[in-house]
Amino acid sequence: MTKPILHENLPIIEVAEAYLLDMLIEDKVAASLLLTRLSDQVAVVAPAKLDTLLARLLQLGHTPKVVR
Amino acid sequence: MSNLSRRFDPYLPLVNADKLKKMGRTYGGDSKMRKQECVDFLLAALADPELLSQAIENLEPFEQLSLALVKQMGGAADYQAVGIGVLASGINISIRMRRFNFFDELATHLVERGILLNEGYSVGSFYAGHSRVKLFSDPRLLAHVGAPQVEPAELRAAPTPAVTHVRMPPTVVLELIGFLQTLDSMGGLGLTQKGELRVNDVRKFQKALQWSTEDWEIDGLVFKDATNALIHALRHSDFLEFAANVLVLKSPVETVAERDYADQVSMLVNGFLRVSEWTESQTKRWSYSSSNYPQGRAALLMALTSLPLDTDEFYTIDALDTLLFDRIGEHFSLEGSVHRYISTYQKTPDEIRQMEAEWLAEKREKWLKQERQWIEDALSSWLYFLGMVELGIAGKRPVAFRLTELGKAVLHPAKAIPVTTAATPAGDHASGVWVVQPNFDVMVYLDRTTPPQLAFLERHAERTQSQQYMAHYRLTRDSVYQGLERGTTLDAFLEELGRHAQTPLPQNVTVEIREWAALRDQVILHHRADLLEFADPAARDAMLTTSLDGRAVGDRYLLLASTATQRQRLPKSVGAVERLNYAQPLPKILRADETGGLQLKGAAIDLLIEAQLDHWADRTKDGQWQLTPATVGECIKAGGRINELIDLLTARLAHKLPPLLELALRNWSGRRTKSAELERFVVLRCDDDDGLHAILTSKRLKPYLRGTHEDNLVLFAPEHIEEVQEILRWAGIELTELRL
Repeated sequence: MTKPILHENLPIIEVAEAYLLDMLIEDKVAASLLLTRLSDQVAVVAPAKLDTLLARLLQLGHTPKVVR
Repeated sequence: MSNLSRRFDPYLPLVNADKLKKMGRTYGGDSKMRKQECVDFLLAALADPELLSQAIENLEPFEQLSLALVKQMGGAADYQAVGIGVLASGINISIRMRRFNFFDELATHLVERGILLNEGYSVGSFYAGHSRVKLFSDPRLLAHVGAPQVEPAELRAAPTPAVTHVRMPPTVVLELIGFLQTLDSMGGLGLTQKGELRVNDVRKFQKALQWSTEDWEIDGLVFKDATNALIHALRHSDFLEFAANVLVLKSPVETVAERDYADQVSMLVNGFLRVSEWTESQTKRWSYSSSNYPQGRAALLMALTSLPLDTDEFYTIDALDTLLFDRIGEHFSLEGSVHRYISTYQKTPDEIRQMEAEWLAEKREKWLKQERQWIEDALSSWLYFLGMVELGIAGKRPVAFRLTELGKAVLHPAKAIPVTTAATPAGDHASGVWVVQPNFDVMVYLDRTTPPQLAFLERHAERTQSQQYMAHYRLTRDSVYQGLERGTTLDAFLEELGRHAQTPLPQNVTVEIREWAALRDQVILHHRADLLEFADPAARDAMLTTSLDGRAVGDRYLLLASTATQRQRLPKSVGAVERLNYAQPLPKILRADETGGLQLKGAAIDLLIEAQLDHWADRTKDGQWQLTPATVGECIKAGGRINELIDLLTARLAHKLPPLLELALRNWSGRRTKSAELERFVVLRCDDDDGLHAILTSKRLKPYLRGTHEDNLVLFAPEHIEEVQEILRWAGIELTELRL
């Protein structure tokens, strides 16, 4: 990789505490919608699956902020 | 419902020249113009808003009223409905029209004035015959037309009844919002190919609203077949529009809820004006004509519109009935068209007057049995339900009525009659409109609320109960979350909640709401984040010290603050970058062979592909994967679909997906290609036609023959190769080794 790469319009999930992402990865449904963990607190969401992930998060009792 | 008005453009060339000349005069046209000149002139006039406005201003009041009625009915209306509306308004008709042929003469006049056109093949030359012809107008013309203006009626006031019933505007509107929310959550009401409401959708709608399919009793008043009435009124209202054969909301519920009470209710009133699928009559007769219900409602509304505005007097329903009969009795019946068979042949004027009086008395007698009851039913059903009238009750029956503020505001939109109370000044809790309790319940005084206040509560709280003067809401974590997700900030929400509260917000409520709001920051979903990826942590960290607005993610990434400028232009210090846009198809950087081997080729690898391939295949080396029956089978077992993998490969491969690999993937996923059969044969090729014929027809060779292929290949059973060779050699055929 010679030049930096700008990833534009990337669907991601960001959590305040790493354990929240750990918990989601433990959940089969949510895990299937997460692709790449970029850090303890950030992961890439599968394309076109953000709404499915939102529905799952609400089911799990989270109230995520959605940034469009 | 869709707008029924139509532009005149395609119809004008069909109108004959004489009529066009008459039409042109309304817009200042010259009667010497030729046909095409008339058409061009009218088209130019219709495209000139100033000229249209002037032309409408110059129309006679009854002509303006006719246009207003057509507009109210959606842009097109039965010609008799227009006539009935005009008569019911009490407005003076300046031109002479024959009583027995009133509807036809009015329609002919309006068409010749160029403000309405008739449907049918004789467009521009009105002729109804026995059919119910519709009149329509051009939307550009209707845009300049206001609400119907009527002649004030002189009705004697009645004493204020001892018992009255009225519905508060917020109560009405809350129910209306409930209908719309339910319809929205259902995704609309489907229509059949014939344009009728889908029975299943109607049932679902009724069930969701817990509507009884029978008659409703509201404050002791019967609303016959209310479910049917409301569904059809909604269907014909301007709340809804068609989208792929489904009736859906034109605007979001929140937007509707913020409109004036009168605006919201008038949309449903207009819906009722267009309903022919339902009648108010509690004693409906088979002979009633469904197309006359909208006419009757238009007439009733005209009569109500003509009541004095500057008084709160009650009127008896009998007085209203008399007024309506005086205005339309000669021309209207729920049973259909009214025909007067009075032969004037060899009759003196006195005899004719006598016959007419007898005919009218007979008509009145019938009217009292039918239409009088229908007026009472209309007042006590939808007009009461919509909060348009307050009813005086005697012995469970409505006997008197008066227009409510809401009713006056709906019928006289141009007069801007206030229905709502003024918004609560900041900090003035004594006159607040709700009380927030420590258990998160919100008690709302409906007689003090404004539409924006109700819309605010609908957006941020769950409605649990609604009565005549009070509504109950509950603040929940979910309702507050939904409100904040729609764009309200926490501070604005608390400020608005507190501003209209009669007492300061309980501390525990404020604290809890703040905690709920804070939970939103625990998990954030970014639909379109921008992320810079660097080769190593040092390069990324160096960039953090520049003017780049963002924060570090992991070792090598920088999550950019989403600003439009930053999105378009990165600081020079970043240097040249590779761009990968996830909103568009990503580069084709993958190669695959027939064995299922996959390899990434490319400088800029996106953040999806490796994880996606890890899911379906074994990683063999850096940048290389192997698809196997086991890896694919495992994913399918875990709920994956083979088309997801095939779509992924199709989207990302730099070449076409090898068909054998696709076949294998599908078969590994469980779909078996029909099994193929394999057998060994000895193949004989013979290019001599006579020789081939002899071999194929030989009785000696037949037991060993297994078939033929193409024109010159013969298949023999391999276990009999020696017998075949012997026979062929015997026949003098020289055998050489075959190479296919």
